[in-house]
Amino acid sequence: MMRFLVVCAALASLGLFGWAAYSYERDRSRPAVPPVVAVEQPERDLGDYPVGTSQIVFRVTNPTDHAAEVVNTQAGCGIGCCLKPTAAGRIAVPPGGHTDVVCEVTVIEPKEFEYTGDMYLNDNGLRVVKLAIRGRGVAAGAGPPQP
Amino acid sequence: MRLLVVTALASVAGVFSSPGSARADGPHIPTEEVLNNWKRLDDADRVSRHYHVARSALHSKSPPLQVTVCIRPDRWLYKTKYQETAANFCRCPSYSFLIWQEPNKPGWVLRGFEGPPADTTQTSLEEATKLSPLRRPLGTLFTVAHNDGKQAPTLYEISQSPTFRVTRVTPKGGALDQVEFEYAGTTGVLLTDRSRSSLVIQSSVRGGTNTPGSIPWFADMKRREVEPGPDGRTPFRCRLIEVIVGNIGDPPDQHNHKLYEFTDYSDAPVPDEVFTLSHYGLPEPVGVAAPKRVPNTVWFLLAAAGCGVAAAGLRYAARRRSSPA
Repeated sequence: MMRFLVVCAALASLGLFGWAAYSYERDRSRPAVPPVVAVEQPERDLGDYPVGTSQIVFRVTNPTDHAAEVVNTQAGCGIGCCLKPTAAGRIAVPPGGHTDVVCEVTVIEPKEFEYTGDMYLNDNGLRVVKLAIRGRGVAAGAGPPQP
Repeated sequence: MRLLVVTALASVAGVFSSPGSARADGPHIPTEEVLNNWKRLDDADRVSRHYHVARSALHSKSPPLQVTVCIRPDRWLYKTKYQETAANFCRCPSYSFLIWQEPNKPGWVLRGFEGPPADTTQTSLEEATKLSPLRRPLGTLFTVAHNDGKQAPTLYEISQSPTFRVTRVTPKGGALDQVEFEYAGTTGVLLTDRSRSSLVIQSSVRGGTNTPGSIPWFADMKRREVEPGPDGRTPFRCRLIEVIVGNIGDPPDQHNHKLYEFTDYSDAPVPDEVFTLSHYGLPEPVGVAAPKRVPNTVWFLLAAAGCGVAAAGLRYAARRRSSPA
């Protein structure tokens, strides 16, 4: 009887060690942070940028397996420039897909400009992503091609 | 330069005399009684209730901004309507938000969101909406902007600052006192009514001269009218406020002359949901991450070690039993 108990305890110990090793390996292979809906290059230095109105695009990617959406992009003016989404309101971002948020940028005069605002995402709940654009306004035609 | 600000502080000499001030013309400090009066007005502004405010710009053809204000001690909501566009601002302990609903467009659009506010006063979103004077109708002291960025702090809040001091009190007849003060680079004159909890019925505040290059401004509250309140917690209800703010030296037509009319007070409870984003069809913020738990691997290892020790112990016991004494 005692021998039987010793064998059972030893087998249980071996089994649990094996399960611990498996559990460790499984946890290690799992990403530390679950994927989240993300905005590509939320902060941008536009360098020399033409005075006037043009468009920039913020790509929102959704690597998760659930549907997400852009709830809104904050419009407003900063130092020497303004930013406004061309379509206000909610935009769906499918699982594993992406969507482009097109914004109108107005650089007011040929000098340093900067704007910071928020993009609101629904990623199984509201999340706020900080957006920032900065650069130096140059006379139209003097800067690099508009993006 | 006329104006005087009025005060309803308790008796002048006694009320504002500073125990530590020996000079008759030196700075005075409001007595405990006056501070308690101002705090009572502050508290009355925080009692749960809702009311309607029409904010009109005098000498303007624009229609008044219609606002319903819902107050709780720890949260507030402004429901505004201007022409066909509705805008709501809500401030809760957990977050603040600003939402808009444009005509002929379904649903609310989130225009601003901030996490938990650092203090119990105004957030930058509320400052942006220029609505903060509406929720403290009894205690608000009208200014243009103080160093702390608040456009309409209450007199009680200001009086708690170490930089606040009353410089002179002059009886104006009846229960009225004229109180002159300094605070954070601003100066002001209040006309207070001792018979009504030291309520400020007129005020004139000047600022913008404390830093080189800043523009001197003024904020003159021409009148604050109140009516008796329903109970001891709310001794008065504000009925009307008229205020002019602007830069000193600008022509009068560039001054901002506003009239606030308060009506339809109600103590009926406001549902909790109206203070949440989900009530307006918007997602609630992502919750705080759960605290990190002990990995399963650790528990398996402990159990395995336990079983190993048990096996060794049993084997040892079996050997002892089988071996002759």
